Amino acid sequence: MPKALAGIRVVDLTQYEAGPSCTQMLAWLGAEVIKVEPPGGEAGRTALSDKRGEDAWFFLLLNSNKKGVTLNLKAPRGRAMFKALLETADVLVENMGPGAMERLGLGTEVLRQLNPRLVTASVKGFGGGGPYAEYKSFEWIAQAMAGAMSMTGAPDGPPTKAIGGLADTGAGLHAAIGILAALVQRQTTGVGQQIEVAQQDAVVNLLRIHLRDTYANGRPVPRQGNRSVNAAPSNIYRCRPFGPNDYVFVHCATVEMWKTLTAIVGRPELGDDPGYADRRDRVKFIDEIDDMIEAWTEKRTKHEVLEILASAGVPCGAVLDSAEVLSDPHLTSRGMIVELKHPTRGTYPMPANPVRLSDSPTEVVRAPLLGEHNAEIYGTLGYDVAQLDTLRREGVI
Amino acid sequence: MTDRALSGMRILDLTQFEAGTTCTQFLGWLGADVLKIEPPGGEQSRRNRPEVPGLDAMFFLVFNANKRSVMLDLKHPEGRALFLRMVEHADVVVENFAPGLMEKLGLDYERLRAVNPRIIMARIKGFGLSGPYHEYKSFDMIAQATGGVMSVTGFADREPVRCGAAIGDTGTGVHAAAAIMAAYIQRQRTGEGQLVEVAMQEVVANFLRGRFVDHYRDGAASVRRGNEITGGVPGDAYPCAPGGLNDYAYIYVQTMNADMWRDFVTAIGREDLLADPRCTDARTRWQHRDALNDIISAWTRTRTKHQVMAELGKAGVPCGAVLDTAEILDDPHLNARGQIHTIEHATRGRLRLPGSPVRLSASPAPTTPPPLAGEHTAEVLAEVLGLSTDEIAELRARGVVAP
Repeated sequence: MPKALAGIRVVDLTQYEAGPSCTQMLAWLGAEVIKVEPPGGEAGRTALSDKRGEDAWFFLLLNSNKKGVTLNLKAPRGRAMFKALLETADVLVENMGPGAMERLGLGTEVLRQLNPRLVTASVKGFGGGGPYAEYKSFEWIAQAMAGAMSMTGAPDGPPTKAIGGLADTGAGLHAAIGILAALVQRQTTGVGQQIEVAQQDAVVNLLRIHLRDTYANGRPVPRQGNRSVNAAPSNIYRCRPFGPNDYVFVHCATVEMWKTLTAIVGRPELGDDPGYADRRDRVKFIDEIDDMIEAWTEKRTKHEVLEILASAGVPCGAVLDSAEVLSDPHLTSRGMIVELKHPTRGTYPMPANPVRLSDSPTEVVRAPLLGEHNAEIYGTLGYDVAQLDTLRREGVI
Repeated sequence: MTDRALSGMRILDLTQFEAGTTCTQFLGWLGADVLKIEPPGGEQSRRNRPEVPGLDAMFFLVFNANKRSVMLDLKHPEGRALFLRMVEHADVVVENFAPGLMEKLGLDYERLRAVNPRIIMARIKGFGLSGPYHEYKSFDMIAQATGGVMSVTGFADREPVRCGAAIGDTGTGVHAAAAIMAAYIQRQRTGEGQLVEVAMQEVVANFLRGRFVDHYRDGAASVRRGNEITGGVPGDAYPCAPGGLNDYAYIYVQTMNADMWRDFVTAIGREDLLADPRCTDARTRWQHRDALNDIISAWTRTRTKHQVMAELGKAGVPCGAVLDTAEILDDPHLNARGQIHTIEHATRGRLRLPGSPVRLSASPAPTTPPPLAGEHTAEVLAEVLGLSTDEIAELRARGVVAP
């Protein structure tokens, strides 16, 4: 099978989510990703596991299609092997704490001397320079510091974190973009470069649309729950059998959508009323409209509502929970959810690659076991079985 | 001479609103020549709730920097012919029209490929090009609902709530940008373009990936948990002075990190907690979370969120002030790093826009003003197709291009 990034070797020093999401995307696109872990395993593999000795689900979700090797970068011999590996690589990705690469003697200058063609990418919480450069970050810290938390939640409730890796997976994808662009540029210049993505910047990018109201009135964007100040209907509506996620989201952008909706819910006269034609004007009647729609939705399940409204051209989404996402007929029929088999965890459904290239199909391969590819990768660097045994005994791999 | 990563890449940008425009803006920052093809009167989002009547809306301005604008009527047969001639001279076409529209215009991938086998066509859709929902329309919040994010965001005793950030729209544009560059790299080996497809529902599910963990562990759907982090104390948004709507700081001490707990209690002047039996380890702290969170809130309430962040940040404890959108534009860190760019717009005057969120050491990414509708029509037709002033004037007279 052809692959977009065939022939690109990525050395992956990442951990948890912000880095692994980047290298997983590159692997899906066909790069050879070699995940280098300390001999005990990356923290995301071990510390986050629900069962001692088993690879964490978190790790399995973020490290498919990679090869796994172990290496002790704190040992001089481990660092020498790492440098030998980097000489064969096109890309290095890391998301360690501020200054960690320099402490390992792997600062930007050292890497450039070692392999001038190497593209190096760093995913950081706040990025170098600026007053917060030394501060630690996590997903929720970056969501707070980028405005996402301030605009999520009910108007009468506190700022609320959004569950979804906006800062982690978001920053990882932004880094993947930087890496791909640098690989394109290298084809002309012949040299690599340094890429930096800060989580705070990535989340600001994801919500740039909401800055517009601040431009207009200088005030912060308020929390609006699920409603919109710019459109009605645009809200969630309860459905049978009234479980915690038995809701649909309905949004009418155009007058045609509004006419279709009012006809379906049995109020066609409102569809023809010029006072209700514009989605912004309808905000004046938001309570009446929301009651009208919910009176109709609460007689049906969310899947019934989805089928009736969406197939009639009214934008509608059932609020799917994680179980329903993993078994959604649309996602499974498109191959977005695939079943993987793991030697110790058994089979599990795995969300696949959300980008599809017609000439670079993604076949999802389970995450590697700890050090699974030591012999293969170090073999290409010239180490034989006996040497690898010695290195293992000495705690280098 | 290549001075930017994507110098030499020419993009015909048919996108509108957000999911597509954010993709091409990104490629523009990286150096691609983005030609925004707009219908007569301009792309719809220019008129999406304009703050100043008659001028381009901020909605448009935040997504269309670093592009040139060509007004070309694709509903006019000559407009389509002109577009296909431009495809011959382009590397990438990006579109996010409603399902079926490109087919209706006779501009599907097969048609474009027949004109230029090297063309990469990126199609951004709500539910993709196949599967039972593929004809359904979508918006950011529809994708958030059907991608699972809404079901886990919010508080356990309340309804699902959408994520404020536009992961369905801009998130999808970011994924599409990655895919386009991968296809471009592949083309350098194969000489052939390809079709790239990204669906918003799938992008949201990808953002949620790390949160399927509960599901696998418990064998049941993940639940809403508000702001807390299960097992983490502190691990919540704590109220700060003076008690406004966004006066909170998010604080998280890693459960497995005993040093970080010590640093935290030292920073808040409560070393006594180190010997407190409630604080033996993360497990006991979680058992006594209500009492301990009260102690932590008592400390945060006496300080502003910025003071809390400065004190804890310097102590090595992860903490983020909950910034609102006005504070983002003024944030000293973002400004010190040059992340907020100031541009001079022809009609809107001076504007501050967030710049490229990715920094490449050898490919600077200044932000240029979003174009006026059709600002570059004549320039681009002359440059790309070699049309003369008279030919352009004739096309204009027949209503094919504007102005």
